[in-house]
Amino acid sequence: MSGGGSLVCVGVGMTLGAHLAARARRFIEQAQTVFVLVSDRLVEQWVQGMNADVRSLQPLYAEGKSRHDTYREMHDLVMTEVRAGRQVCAAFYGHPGVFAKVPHELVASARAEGFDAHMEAGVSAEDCLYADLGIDPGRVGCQHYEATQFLINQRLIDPSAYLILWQPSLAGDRSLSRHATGAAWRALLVERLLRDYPADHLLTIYEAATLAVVPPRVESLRLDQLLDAELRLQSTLVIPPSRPVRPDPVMLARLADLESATRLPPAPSLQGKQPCPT
Amino acid sequence: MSHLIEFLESAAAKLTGLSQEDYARAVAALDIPQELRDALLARDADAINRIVDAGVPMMMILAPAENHPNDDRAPAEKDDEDDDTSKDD
Repeated sequence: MSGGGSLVCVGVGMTLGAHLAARARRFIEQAQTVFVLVSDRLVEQWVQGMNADVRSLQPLYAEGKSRHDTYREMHDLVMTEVRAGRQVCAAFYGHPGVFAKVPHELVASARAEGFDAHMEAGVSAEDCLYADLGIDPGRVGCQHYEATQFLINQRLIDPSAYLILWQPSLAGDRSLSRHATGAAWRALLVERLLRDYPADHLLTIYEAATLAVVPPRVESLRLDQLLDAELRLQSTLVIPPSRPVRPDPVMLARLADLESATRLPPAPSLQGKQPCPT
Repeated sequence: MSHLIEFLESAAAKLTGLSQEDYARAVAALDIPQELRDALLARDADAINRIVDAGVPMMMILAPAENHPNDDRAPAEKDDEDDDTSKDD
């Protein structure tokens, strides 16, 4: 970092001490000011031990306060320091650019105002989920939605792929000011899922480990049990496929035609011939 | 608390977990309150955070559930305006 204000948004990963990349750590250590927004107090204190000027963004949240206001205040706090010519690092839990509005807006704003700004990738809850649950998103496909966006929009769900819903404890909160929604909201989420999945379909509630000495939460339940399940801010719903992938015979036939039309002539047989000297 | 953070950072850096006996010994050696020691021995993340948070739970929401209420325009319309804004900048 040199000259004028600058900004880097880094991710500290999900598990204290396990996921922070060396490069991201150096940005935290060398910044003039660090802002931090992470999942729990220990992780916050861990980051505070890396730099003499670490400022928590946590106090900007409040029950009953619109998160739009919270996000705007976070943005303004960080940008004030960048505009003051400081080298700023904003450290977020997980990956700073995954399901995170503020870091993307910060980088865009800083660049628009002519400052050096970039984002460093981090280990997200999604990454941990794949490892802990043994899911390869490339095997049958994987759909991700923020739970309220899933609920309020006419999404076309493919039940032959994984469906992963983030922040289900807040599903349906249009006020953006609650810290959890109640049973009536949850009932609507279950009702929506029942359009695409049977009531006895097995789901998983997942929470990545934030401390290495504590295992991740992996809890299986049927869809019709979701209404009474304990969902917290950090909970994610993992809904496996309910039916096999359906091949598209028309596209398969067209691809076969293409293969036939472009097939290379067979290689000449080497049978009975001496191999070339090398 | 710094002892606890050093312990957790060190635990995360180990390639394999400590045996339960070694873990219990390491936790017993930490200079932390007994209730926090008990929570660590139980590997109870909720209890650990409850004690460390001192009754002020952390928030961890960064994803907007939807666009801002005043930002309901169609994406194309918004893109046009965003482009204009960036030019003005």
